[in-house]
Amino acid sequence: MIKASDIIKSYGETSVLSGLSLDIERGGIYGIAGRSGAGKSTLLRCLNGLEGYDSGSLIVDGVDVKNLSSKELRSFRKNIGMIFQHFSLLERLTVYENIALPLRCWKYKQSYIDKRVRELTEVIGIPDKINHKPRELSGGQKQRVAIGRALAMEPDILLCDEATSALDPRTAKTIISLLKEINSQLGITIVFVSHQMQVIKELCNDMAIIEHGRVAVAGSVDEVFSNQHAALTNLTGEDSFVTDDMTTIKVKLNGYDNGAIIPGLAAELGIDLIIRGNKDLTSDNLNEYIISYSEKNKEEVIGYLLAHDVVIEKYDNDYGKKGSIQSDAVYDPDIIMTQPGTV
Amino acid sequence: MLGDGYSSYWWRFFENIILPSIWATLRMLSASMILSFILGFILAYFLILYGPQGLKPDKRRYKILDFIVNSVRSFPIIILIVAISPLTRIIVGTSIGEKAAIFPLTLAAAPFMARIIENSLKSVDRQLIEAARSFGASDYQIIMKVMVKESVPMIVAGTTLSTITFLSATTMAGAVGGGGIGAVALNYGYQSFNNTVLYTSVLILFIMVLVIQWAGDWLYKRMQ
Repeated sequence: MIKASDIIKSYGETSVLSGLSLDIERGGIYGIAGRSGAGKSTLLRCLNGLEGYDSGSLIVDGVDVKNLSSKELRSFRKNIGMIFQHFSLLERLTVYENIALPLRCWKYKQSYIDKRVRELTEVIGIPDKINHKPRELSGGQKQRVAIGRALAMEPDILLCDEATSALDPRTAKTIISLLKEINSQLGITIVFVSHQMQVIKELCNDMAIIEHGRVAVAGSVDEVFSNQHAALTNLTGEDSFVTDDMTTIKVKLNGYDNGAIIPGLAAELGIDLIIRGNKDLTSDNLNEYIISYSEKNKEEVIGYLLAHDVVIEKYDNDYGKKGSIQSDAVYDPDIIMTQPGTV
Repeated sequence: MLGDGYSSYWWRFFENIILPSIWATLRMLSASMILSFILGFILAYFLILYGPQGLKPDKRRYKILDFIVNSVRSFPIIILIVAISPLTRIIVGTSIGEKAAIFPLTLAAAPFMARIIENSLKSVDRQLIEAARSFGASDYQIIMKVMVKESVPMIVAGTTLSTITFLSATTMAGAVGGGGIGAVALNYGYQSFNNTVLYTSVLILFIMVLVIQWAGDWLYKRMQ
């Protein structure tokens, strides 16, 4: 559906995309990860022609974006919805008017607009907020409205630019499941750009990691995560949330089905932890976890672990701090737990 | 101290000289503000369209517009009125009086309004414009349906500000034959050594400023 080959783009002296090639299939959810400045947002903007590129070819739905006139580009964009990090709604318009805006721009009949907007508020799950203004909504609800607006023209593709990055993890999760629903029920191909690896892991089927304007690694999410490509560790190392006042321990589980112990740790105690699985899958220590916790939670954590019959080892306290490499950081235990075998 | 004699004296001036000049000032002000708003809006539209961060950047056209706006704004209003009086005579037929003042006032206020509207439109979030682009809105639709729509409160506040600025400009027009309350304060007040007329006019201008500001604030709140 989307085929990018050897795309090069630069702003003056700064090269943003340097020979990027990518293949995105119809009907899936494709994640594009990378640090800020890696070129992922620029790539996304090239897909719907918000930005041009210097050379290479970019075929979206059989059309080369570069060859479109500005008029053709406008109608081409009807087919591609887009949502943003900060929702980008018109603050002075109601939810209804925000969703109706694309339809009004394309001069649809009022009766059709009315029907379509009501349909969409059902899809995004906030029919009761239809006459509210964005400032009366929560972040998650705002993003829902933005999704509704992006779907108004019945697009085949939905582009998401850091769509969950401004939301708290719990809300992000609800947006993720809405996007999954949209993908499976409406058959819309989703391209999801994010620096949040956990969100991509949760949401996407396939993914690519972009480094220095190039695809460093691409493949199915499972493949990318289990192969532990250097690009992935580079990226997650950046996500480290370990701070100086945290203690890091290594925990060995005894016995087999201990899958619930560590996830339960955060859920039961309701505290913030960083839990990583064993990064070296080739070893036989599949039941090892590395846990970082704040000093103030020490007693609770240790108490919980001892009660569940595990072996605790002291661990290098610098592990996971900015600059060092780690396999995976989970800062909100509520979203996804890192389990041995899936890392 | 001020008996019946004084109040009837005051009323005589008020009724015959000041009151008509209030209406003249209001007519001058509203006509020049409406016209300059329209002109300023058109200018702002193209400044936003062709500006360096604009929807369709065009350096050459932007520079030309920018130059026009800046050069007209650099004229002090009183000089502008005098300087373009031949032009005023050609267009309006006379260079004296209320109607003649509307032309130079509009000309002076238009670039001012253009900057105010341009700045209001510029304050609209770039990502919102991208969002509008992403669903296929044209440049015209982006400006009218998104940027203008979002910045109405700022435009209202800016228009209030310039209405007050140009209220004082109408009084300066009075100095060079413009008519209105400024002319009355100068000719019948200051130059005739009539403090009653002078200070009554000042008081009325003060009240006008208050009313305009109050109305602007009220509208601003309603538009938010």
